[in-house]
Amino acid sequence: MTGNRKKKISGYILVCVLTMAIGFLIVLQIKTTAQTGNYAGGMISLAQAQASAAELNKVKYEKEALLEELKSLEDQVKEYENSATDENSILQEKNREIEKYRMASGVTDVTGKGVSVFIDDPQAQPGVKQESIITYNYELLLVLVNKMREAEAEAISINGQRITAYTEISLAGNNININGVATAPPYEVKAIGNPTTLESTLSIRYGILYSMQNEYGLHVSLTPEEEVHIPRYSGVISFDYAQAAE
Amino acid sequence: MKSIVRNTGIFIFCLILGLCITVQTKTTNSEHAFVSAKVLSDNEVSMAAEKEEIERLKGLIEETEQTLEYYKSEYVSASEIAAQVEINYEDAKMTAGFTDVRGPGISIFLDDGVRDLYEWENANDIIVHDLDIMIIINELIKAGAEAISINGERYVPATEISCSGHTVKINGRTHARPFYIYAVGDQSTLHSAMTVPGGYGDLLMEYGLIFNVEKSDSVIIPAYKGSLSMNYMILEEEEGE
Repeated sequence: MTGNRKKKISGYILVCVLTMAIGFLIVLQIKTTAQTGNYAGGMISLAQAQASAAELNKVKYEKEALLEELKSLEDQVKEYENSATDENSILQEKNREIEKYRMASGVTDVTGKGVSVFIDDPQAQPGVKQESIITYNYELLLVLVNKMREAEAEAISINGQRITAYTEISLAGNNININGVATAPPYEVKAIGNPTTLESTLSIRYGILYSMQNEYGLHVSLTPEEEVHIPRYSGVISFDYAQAAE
Repeated sequence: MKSIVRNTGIFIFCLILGLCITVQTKTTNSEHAFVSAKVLSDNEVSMAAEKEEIERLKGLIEETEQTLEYYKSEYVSASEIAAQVEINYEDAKMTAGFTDVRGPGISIFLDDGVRDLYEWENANDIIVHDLDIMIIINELIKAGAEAISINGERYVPATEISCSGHTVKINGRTHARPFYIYAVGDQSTLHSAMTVPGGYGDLLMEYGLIFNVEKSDSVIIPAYKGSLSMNYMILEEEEGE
């Protein structure tokens, strides 16, 4: 091989290597920016997402365990109360009614037929931060709960928060607070009651679900269910101002 | 000329090859595959909520443990437990809204506006809507209301506010304007919530509706007159164990 050609070939090789290096550097740059970008519209690694999900599951298991412990303690307490009221039939009746009042108030876990309504914001463009439509129009949730009551729902929950006579729905920062607990979309609103009545009342043309979808652009779907599980309100209800009036 | 074209071609080819090789190696390693960060912020909200729930449950567990200790104690007789059941009964009844209550609070008078309409307005703009009542109730609860009534109807978890033309159905009974809304709680907090500039009461008054709020040392709120019947919901029982 002559000196000239050698130079040309080595020149080509050099160019190849350099341009591959440039390609490599460009990708590296994108990756770095993505990792240091803020959450809004940013991307995180799959490993990070998996770790976060695992942490959440751990906390959920802890809560389930506590619920079981509470249930078992309550059952033991009930046994004492049942045997203490054995002799007195009036008191026995009152003892039975206590459970019904508690169910009506929303302080017990309940189950039954009903519906589950799923509400979500429209898909955001990747990399674009979009304000949550449902969060800034939370009165839509008030209307939905009201419609479910019109359809004689016996128990209602929103993202695991039981709706009681002491439940507020309010805007707190970028979240909706229910029972003082922060919630975020997507929303699962569950109701126990006649599934047919609930479905037809909520899905009526120009009704609340129609309006959420067509006027607000939310993703909405309703599913009738054989078994809806609605948790108790876990907070404390105490009366500092109200007293029973004779 | 030819060599410039050829060189450019090689340049572009190698560039693309370099990009492809690195992207390929990155995606096969999960550390470098990407998902939307929204997942992370959603989990943060859920995490905070679950932790709050855990704290509340711990509180309930402590309370129940105390009751159980009390019942187990050898100094406590069956009649004392029975007395506790009586107390529990009255408490449960009151929490459910089946008891008349009395206490300090506020009274609200809400009515359709009487002013003339502007050209662009529609009669709907100055009448009371079901949503108005729903929002007022929500605001009262945010301000700590312990009991609420609308035209004598106790507000309970089953209470619907259902507009039908000029009347409103509340707890299954038909009512019409004007609306008297009573709430028991801290007088100042309730009053501020209803009258704060920029608040909902303010908004209604801007539209010309009549909205008067007064503090009261003694508000009486009647019991819910509906029934306790439940056709669909039953207690969640533990499966097995």
